[in-house]
Amino acid sequence: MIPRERVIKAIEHEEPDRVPMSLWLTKEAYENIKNYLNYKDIEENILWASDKSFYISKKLIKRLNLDIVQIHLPPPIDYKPKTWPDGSFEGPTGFRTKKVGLYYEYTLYPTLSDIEDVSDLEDKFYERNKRQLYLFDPNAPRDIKPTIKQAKELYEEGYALSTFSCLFGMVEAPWYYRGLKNWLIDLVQRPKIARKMIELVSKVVIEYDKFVIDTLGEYLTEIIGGGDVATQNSMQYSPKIFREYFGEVERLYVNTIKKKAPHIKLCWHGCGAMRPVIKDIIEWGYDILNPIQPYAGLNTPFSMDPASLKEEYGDKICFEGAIDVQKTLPRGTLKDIEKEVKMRIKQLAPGGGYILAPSHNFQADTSGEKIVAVYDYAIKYGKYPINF
Amino acid sequence: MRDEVKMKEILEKLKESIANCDIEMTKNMAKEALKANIPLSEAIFNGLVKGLEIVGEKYEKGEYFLAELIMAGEAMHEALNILIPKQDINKEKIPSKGKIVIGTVEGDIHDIGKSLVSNFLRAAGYEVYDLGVDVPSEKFIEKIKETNANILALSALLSTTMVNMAKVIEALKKEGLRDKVKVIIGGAPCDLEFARKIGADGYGKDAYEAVKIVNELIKK
Repeated sequence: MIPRERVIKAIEHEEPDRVPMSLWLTKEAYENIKNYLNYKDIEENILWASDKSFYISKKLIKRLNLDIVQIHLPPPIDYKPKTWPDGSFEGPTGFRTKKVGLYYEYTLYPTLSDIEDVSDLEDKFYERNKRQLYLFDPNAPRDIKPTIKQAKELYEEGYALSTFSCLFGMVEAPWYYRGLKNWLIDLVQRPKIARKMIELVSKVVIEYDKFVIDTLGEYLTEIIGGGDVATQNSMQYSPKIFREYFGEVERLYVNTIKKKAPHIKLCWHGCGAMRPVIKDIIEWGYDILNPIQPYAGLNTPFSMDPASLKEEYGDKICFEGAIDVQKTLPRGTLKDIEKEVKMRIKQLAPGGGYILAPSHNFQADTSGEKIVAVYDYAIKYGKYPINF
Repeated sequence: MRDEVKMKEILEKLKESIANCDIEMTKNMAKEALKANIPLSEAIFNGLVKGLEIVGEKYEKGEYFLAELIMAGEAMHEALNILIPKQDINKEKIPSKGKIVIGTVEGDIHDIGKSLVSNFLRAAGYEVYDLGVDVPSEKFIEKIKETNANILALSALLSTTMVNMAKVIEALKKEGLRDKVKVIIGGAPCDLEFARKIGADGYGKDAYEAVKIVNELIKK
């Protein structure tokens, strides 16, 4: 069975030959793997994780037995990312970011946090984010040939290709522009600003994603969008607010994509304890839910406990993730990791509907040995039928 | 008698405005409280804190979420900023229940959870020194020495930065301060087991638990 077939079967709730797998990681974790496997002088030519702009090698994809490979369109040829005197710079999504510790932080420079009057919002949105929005201008000149060539090659080799939705989807970008605190207050108390913000962002996202489908669509199996709406133990805002603000625009998004490219599966990436809105995401037409943080909402009604998620939603959405990166990966032993992989497969894989992946990016604190072990254990335990 | 009725009314409204997470209304009511010469401790403990308790109950029940906690915390913060600077005029000092140094550890800029805890502790009657985010061990030590704090509250959102909490505790030991200050920790990847492992005295899963734990630790 080729990887793409394996992935599609899983998404469509059929049992493939084994549990398909995908990789989410930071650049530092990639370095850990490379050092552990002693990969030197390898060709790194697959752009991974659009927000981090690093490349990984096909050798690693083969070694880990990955089924999903990421691919992203390049920025316009005349776009040069800018660096500020304080060390901050424009990341690949154009948001100004700064490296703090190990992370590129997005939220330090909200460009629209000072706007109080909704009638100013539209003009300022385009004026202040001109350089960033140019990145997602379908008419900007781009050298897309090499990307298409690579996509075609990977497709022909049988991989399922996935790409990120513009701005990672419509849910998070408004908070990057407004600042999180401001944005949460917008949603509760300033509905006009909140609605306008979502409208402006959604236009950019939908137009660019249409362009991505026009260029790469035939090779794509998945687009990853959505966004974070929860925290470790609860939601950022009420499910009611989520539905009222995002329902219409998400339906429009899903319908637009599915109409243009019915073969493309849509993944909602949302961290934390988002259980109360999973049914909405299913209703809007999303096919996959990522990253399933098993300890989020522990002992609360928001619990993301994989076994109970499978029971409630297992036949309606495919789960991707669930291998815990908060405790087990960084602090557990190889034995603990084996137990974790086996347990998640047992909980989530029967009947299809599961793509094995970490419960978010593997982090710098997880050794290469442990990361490789996750995928090796998954090969050991992930063969169908699952009967342990 | 009329004053007492008015006071009750203002306190009730202070409570309500916090419970409704209404920042503007809370500010207005804090100003009203000043105008009516309501004693500071009354305004805080029989007004604001009562409102915060309702917010907590609603959060526990899943009726309120992070947005409401933040708004209630902000409202509280604004109200205290209006009420506290005038305490000399009112000739009243609230007895401080203890001194707390709080911050997000080095390498981590996550602010919201930490600021919530900070606002809630302040509302609960503690003197809080909030050092902000990305705080190196030395800064915590310096502030503890300067203020003679009883409690150190450390926050981390990342599994990669929570290890820096252990470093702060090591630094406390080195400076001979470990017995003088109780340490509590919080943040998404933390749990009681981790708190025990690094030798912290307590762990709170949210701002409400943080206040409860500090109240217990301070009695010891």
